[in-house]
Amino acid sequence: MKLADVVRELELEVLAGPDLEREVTGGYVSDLLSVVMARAKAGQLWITLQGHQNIVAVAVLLELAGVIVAGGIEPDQETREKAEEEGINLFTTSLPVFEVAGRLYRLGARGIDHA
Amino acid sequence: MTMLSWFSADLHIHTVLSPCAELDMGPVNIVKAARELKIDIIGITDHNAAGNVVAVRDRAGKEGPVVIPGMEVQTREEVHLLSFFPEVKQLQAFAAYIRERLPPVRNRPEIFGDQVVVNGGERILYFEEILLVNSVTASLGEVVKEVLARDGLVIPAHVDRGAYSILANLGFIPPALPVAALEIARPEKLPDLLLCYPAVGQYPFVSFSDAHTLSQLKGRFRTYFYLKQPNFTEIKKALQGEGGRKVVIRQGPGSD
Repeated sequence: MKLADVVRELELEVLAGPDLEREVTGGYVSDLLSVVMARAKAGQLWITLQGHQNIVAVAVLLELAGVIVAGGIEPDQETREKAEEEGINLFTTSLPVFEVAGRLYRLGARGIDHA
Repeated sequence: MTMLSWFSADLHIHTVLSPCAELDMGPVNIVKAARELKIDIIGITDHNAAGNVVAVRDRAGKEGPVVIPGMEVQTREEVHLLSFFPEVKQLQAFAAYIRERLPPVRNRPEIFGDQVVVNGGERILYFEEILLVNSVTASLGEVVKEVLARDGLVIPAHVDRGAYSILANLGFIPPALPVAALEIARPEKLPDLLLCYPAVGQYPFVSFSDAHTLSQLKGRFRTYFYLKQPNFTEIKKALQGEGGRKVVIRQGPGSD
């Protein structure tokens, strides 16, 4: 599925969307960036409550499909700017993390390869 | 010209205002223990509040230890940040800023413990009713900016822990963040930390007790500053390595 489909289905707000044609290969959820860095995989869409600009750097490093800042959290201004600069797809939603992950799963995204 | 000399310091101490601290962590006991343990400089750093700093300073008086006004802030990223100020008035202004950004959740003493504000003689002045162990709504960047605007300095707390740590929560130290030093809970594991996070090697390290009980004040490790005078400004200079001032971590009396 493409990011554009996820944005439409989950009614995400696009803060930075340089590549909405990007294919989503799965999902990942954590608010500990150290854990995300160690375990998330390229192409995954990451759902978090962290709005700090380091989330952009992590997305760049891991080549994530994008980042959804959920739960109505407003990312820091620097985070939006970094996402624009670095070409990272960045979204927000007022939906809680559990709901976002559940809806993403229903759309066909998985967190592990063989699921 | 004043000569440089070594001062022992423990700049991460909680009082009875922190709900997780034991009720004997009042000014009388803290000052007595610091004198017995020959700690020259202490930092009072309660969670998101500063109500007992003056009480400890009053109790310490001229005899010491020197009390550096401070606070352990929990930012909205759930990062613990030690903040220190030259004078109490700057800390109090900062404390007002933090208080406005605390979620309006009431403390439940039966779960979290009492949050007690006392005077230098340990008379109870009042119980803080807002839960202090919570994330404020301000971001790490905003909090740091507010501290620096009041001539303070910031030291991310226990960066090597798995929780409430800037490294655990944010993956790395944001490169442009003006931090004066990093606090490490287990200095003996510093080589491992540097393997995982080579970039942290550029910062000076300190190690404090994070004492919530009197016995923890012994400290497994202790930080020593080489200064002209035991005060905030000299500590700041030492962390910048200015004019021969320096900082080192050594084994403390609480080591095994």
